[in-house]
Amino acid sequence: MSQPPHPVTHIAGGAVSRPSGGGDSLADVLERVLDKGVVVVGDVGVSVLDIELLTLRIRLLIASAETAREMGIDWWTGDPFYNSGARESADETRALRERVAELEKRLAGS
Amino acid sequence: MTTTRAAAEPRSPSAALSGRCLYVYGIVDRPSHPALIAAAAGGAGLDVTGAGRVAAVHADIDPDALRVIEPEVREGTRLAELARNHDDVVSALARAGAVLPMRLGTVVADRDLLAGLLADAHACIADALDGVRGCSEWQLRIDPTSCADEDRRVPAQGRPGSGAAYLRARRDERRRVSAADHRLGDALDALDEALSFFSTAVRGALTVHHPASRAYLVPNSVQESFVAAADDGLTRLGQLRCTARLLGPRPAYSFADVRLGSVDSD
Repeated sequence: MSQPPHPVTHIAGGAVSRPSGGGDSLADVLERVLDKGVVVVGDVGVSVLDIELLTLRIRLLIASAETAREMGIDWWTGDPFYNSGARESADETRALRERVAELEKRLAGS
Repeated sequence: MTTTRAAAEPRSPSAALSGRCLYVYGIVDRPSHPALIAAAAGGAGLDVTGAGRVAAVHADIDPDALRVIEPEVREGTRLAELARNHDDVVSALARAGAVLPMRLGTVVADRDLLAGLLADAHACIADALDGVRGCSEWQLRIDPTSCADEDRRVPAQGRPGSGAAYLRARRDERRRVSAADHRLGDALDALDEALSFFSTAVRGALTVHHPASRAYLVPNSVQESFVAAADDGLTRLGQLRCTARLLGPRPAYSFADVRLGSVDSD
C-alpha cells in the first residue's frame, strides 16, 4: 500500500502549514472523534459512555459554547436545525425579505 | 482471541459500571496478531477480538476512567486526553492497514459480546473495510460567512434618497451580492469537482451560506495529485478572501458507516 504523505493543513490563499509532529488542534480532533466512526446502538453495547458523551456534547453546545467557539467548534451557530436562535433569525429574515419585496413591488408600481 | 459467534444479548447499561470493560478503537482485517497491533499503535495493552475476517482492536479499561467532569474543553483536560489517545491509536492502525475507526467512547462489556456484534454485522463491516482500504480521508472546511469579499457583505441600512434612488441602490446591492455568491459558488464547485475526481467517495455538502465541511476518501496512490489539485482551488478561494482549510490525510472516520447492534446492520 502506498504510504500517505505527512499530515498537512492547506489554507486558502496559498499558505500551507505542516503541523509540528503531525498534530492537529484539539478542535480538529474532537470534530473527528465525537461525531464520526462506527457506533454501537441500542442496549447491546454498554451505553455508559453514550450517556457521558451526550452530556459532553450538551456541555460543548451550552456550558462551554464560548470555549468551543474559541477553539473553532461553532458549526451549530448558523445551523437552524441545532440553533433555535438561528432558526428564529432565519424565519425573521425570510419574513423581512418578503415584506421588503412587497414594498418594492408597490413602489415600482406607483 | 474469540473466534466463535456469540449471541449479542441485551445488557443493562449498568453492566459496565461494575468492573472492567473493553474500550474499542477500531475494526481491522483479521487475522491481526495482538503483538503486531500493539506495536503498530505504539502502546501496550491493546488486544484484538475477531469474527470471520474482521477484528476489533480494544483495550481493557475501568469505565470510571472515562468519566469526564471538567466544565471546559481545552488542552490538558481529561476529554482532550481521551480524544487524543483515541485518535492516536486509530491513526497508528490506519498507517498499518485498513481500519474503521470507532466513535470516541465506545465501550463493550466483554469479548463475547464484542464478537457477537462483529459477527452480526460481518458483511457490512467487511464491505466498509474494503471501501477504505488503501485510502485516507481529507477534509475541506470552509466558512463563507467569514468571507471578506466586500460585495458579499450585507449592505448598510438607512440609505438616504428618494424611492426610486432607494430601489436602484437596492437592485445594485442585490446584484453585487448575487454576483459575489456566484463567484464563490463557482470556485467551490470547481474545487469540489477537482477533489472529487481523485476520490472514491465523498461525504457532506458545501454551501456558500453556512460553515461546512466535505470529506473526500482518496486512494493513497493519488494523494499527491489530490493535494496539487487542492492547491489550485484553495488559491482561488484565497483570492475571494474566503476562509478554507484542507486537512489530511486522516483515518476514514467519515466513511465508517457501520452501526453495530442494529437489526439492519447487515
